[in-house]
Amino acid sequence: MRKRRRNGLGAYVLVLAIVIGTAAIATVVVGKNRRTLYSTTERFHRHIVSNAFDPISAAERGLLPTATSTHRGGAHAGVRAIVVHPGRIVLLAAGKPVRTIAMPRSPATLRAIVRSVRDPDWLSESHGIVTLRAAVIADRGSVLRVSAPLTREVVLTRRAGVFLGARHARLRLDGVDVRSGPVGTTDDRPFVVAQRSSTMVIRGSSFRDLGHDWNSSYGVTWASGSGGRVVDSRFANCYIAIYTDAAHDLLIRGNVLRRNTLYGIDPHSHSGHITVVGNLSEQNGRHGIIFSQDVTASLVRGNTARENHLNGIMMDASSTGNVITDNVVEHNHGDGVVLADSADNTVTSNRIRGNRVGILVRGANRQRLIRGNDVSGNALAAQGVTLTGNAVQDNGGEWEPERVAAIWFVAVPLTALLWWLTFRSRRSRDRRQRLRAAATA
Amino acid sequence: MSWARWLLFAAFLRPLAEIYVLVLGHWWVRARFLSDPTRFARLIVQITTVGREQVRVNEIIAEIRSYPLSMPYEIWVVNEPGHGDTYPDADRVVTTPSDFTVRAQYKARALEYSRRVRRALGLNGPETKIVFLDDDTSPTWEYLETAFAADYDVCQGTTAPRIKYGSLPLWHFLLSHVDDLRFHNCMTYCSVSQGVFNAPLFVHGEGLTVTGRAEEVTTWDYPVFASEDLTFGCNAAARGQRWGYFHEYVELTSPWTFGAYLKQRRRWMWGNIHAITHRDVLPLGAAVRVGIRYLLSLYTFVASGIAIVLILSGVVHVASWWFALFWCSLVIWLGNYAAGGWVNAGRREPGQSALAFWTNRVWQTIAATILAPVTATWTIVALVTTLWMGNPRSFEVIPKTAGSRESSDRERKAA
Repeated sequence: MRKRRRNGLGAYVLVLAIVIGTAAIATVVVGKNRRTLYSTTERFHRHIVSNAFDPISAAERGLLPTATSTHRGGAHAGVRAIVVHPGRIVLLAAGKPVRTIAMPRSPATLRAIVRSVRDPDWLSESHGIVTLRAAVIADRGSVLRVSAPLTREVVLTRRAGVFLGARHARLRLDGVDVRSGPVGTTDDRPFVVAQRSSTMVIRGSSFRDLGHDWNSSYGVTWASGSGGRVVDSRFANCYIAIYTDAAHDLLIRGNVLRRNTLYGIDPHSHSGHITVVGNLSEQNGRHGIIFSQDVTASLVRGNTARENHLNGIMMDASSTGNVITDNVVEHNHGDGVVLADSADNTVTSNRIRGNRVGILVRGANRQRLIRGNDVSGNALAAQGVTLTGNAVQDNGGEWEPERVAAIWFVAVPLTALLWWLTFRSRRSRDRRQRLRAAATA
Repeated sequence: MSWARWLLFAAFLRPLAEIYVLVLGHWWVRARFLSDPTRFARLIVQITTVGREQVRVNEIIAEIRSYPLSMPYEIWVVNEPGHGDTYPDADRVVTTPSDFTVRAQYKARALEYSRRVRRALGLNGPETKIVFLDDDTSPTWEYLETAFAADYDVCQGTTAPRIKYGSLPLWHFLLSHVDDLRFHNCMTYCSVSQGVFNAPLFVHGEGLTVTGRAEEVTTWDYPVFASEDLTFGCNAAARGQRWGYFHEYVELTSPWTFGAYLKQRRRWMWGNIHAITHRDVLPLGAAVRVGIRYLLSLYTFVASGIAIVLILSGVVHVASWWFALFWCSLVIWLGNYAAGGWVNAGRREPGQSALAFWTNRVWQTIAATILAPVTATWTIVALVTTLWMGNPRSFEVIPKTAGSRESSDRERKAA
């Protein structure tokens, strides 16, 4: 038995095993087009907003914007609001009316309000530039228009409680440049908000340096049943450019959203029927477009999300039944299209290239349709989903047939070479053994 | 700091490197190993024991007697005075006199005494082969045949903790699997260091096979209290004796209690430290080799542990193809343990049914794989613990069978 083992094929089998093993390892390691897949996990501090007053309620009560139902604090003399009602204006300071001014019932304009109030300590106007030093709120039933050429620019002073808002009202911004004043802290940056079934329509306007990390105070917000549209406008350096909270029937079309702190477009919390069409969202600090927390029945079509610090387009936290189609999602530092815990979405005909992972699905894998997308040049084509029915090419993680063939092509002559060396070794050993045996004899 | 990062990551590649070392060693066995039974006239199988394991030693003798060995052979039992010396099937029982004094102590002293007995009997020539066994060691028939025919001055095969491997009680089950690493080290490092490079890194007294001439040249007389096998093997190589390695199993028993395990490892550890630090025990080259071996073990454990934490916590990133290579290495590492479990469970006890044997073999293979992280950690913990416990300065023997463990417990309680 021993003799058979010693003179058997063991050495040749070992050589074959190690060559095949090495070729297998080489195939796994270098046979794939591997690109570095950096983690996109980053710490980012955000305030926890709980039981906070909405901005309009806080301003009405004279409370600081950071007031919550458990830590209200007292009314603050510095918190002032100009509340526009149909036919009158009420000036509030520290939550108390200090003046009431009669106005015509026709739609109010900022210029008309300036002229009615006539107090530059509250707001002023010069050469089409209106500067707000108090909140201006269009209240129930009123209509407020801010339009070029009468008003070309609105400067919102950076101080607590300054913003432009609407509640149960209509607010229209047309061809206006809205920005925060140059002096103040980031935490006081003013914002624009429409809430409680308001309609806010924005066209051809620009928004700069707005918003901060607090309840509905992020940039331009549609909240609590509000809707409307924002078209052909530009948003830059806002905290979140466009944000919705339980909004519906909102059209977001043809806007440019660039270099905002967090997101370009962020429909949130039970918003629905949001149409996001033809926008460019780029170089934002987190995601280009994100739907989060039960945002449903919405459309994301023909947008470009590129060079964002994290993902291009993301459906998050039970955002289901949405259609993402015909978008260009490219060169984002994170992933291209991400469906996180969000089932039943449709992802079709998007061009997804140069991202970390092209399409990433996690949490809820059941999607309605992921088809016809062009997924190319990403560090990895997909995670959590197979891309059958999509054009997938030149992504990392794909097998490189030429490399694999080369590895196994080398393995064959290497085996032959090592077998030959084994044969030579065994022959020389046998000769040595014979010589030693002869010497012993 | 990229060099530091790669110093950590390199530890992951050790299993991958080891598989090539292992294959090289076993290729050498099959392609280069010299074998010529006609060169040797007789085989002495020597079982060295303190004398506490008389039953087990008689079992081993009976086992060897049952083999159809092809050479003339004798079985010697070398023991210490004061214990039973009833070994009816042994050819010679050599009791080391109490007043026998040499530089060597404990087991090495007994071995040196037996060498002198052989010299007195004229059994110290190149035609005599001696296989050394411990009182917990069973060589297979193939082992004895191959050891005898091996055309080397000094050689040995593979140790495998096959006797009662993985059996209950729980401590023995766990400690059997801790010894999976011992089998792996033997397969990997003994094969290459002894076979290919003639420069032993590990030497185990179980199954160590020498010619009478090599024993005469090397002697066992070194100032050691433990690690006499390593000392002998390295000095033999330093004195120009040719080393060989073959792939047959000498079967041994893992410790039965945690205390016994620590006692055994402490003896090895401090025996090796003593050897490494004394030039009259180990030649410098061998001392450096063995020292590096210990440092390499420590480095692998610490570096891979730190690297895992840094990767999982996102502190360091690894390029994906390196990651694939690390995974391959991990699979090989687990495969090594699986192979260890498979081989070590390969001894079929008399009367054991085929179903029971194969079921146990598969179970032990799975257990060895699952326990791999525990086994690796345990070994390092034992290394550090025995360092902390300090030098025992004696050759502490441990119970080798469940029976002797129980009687040892009884004696301790009575005391």
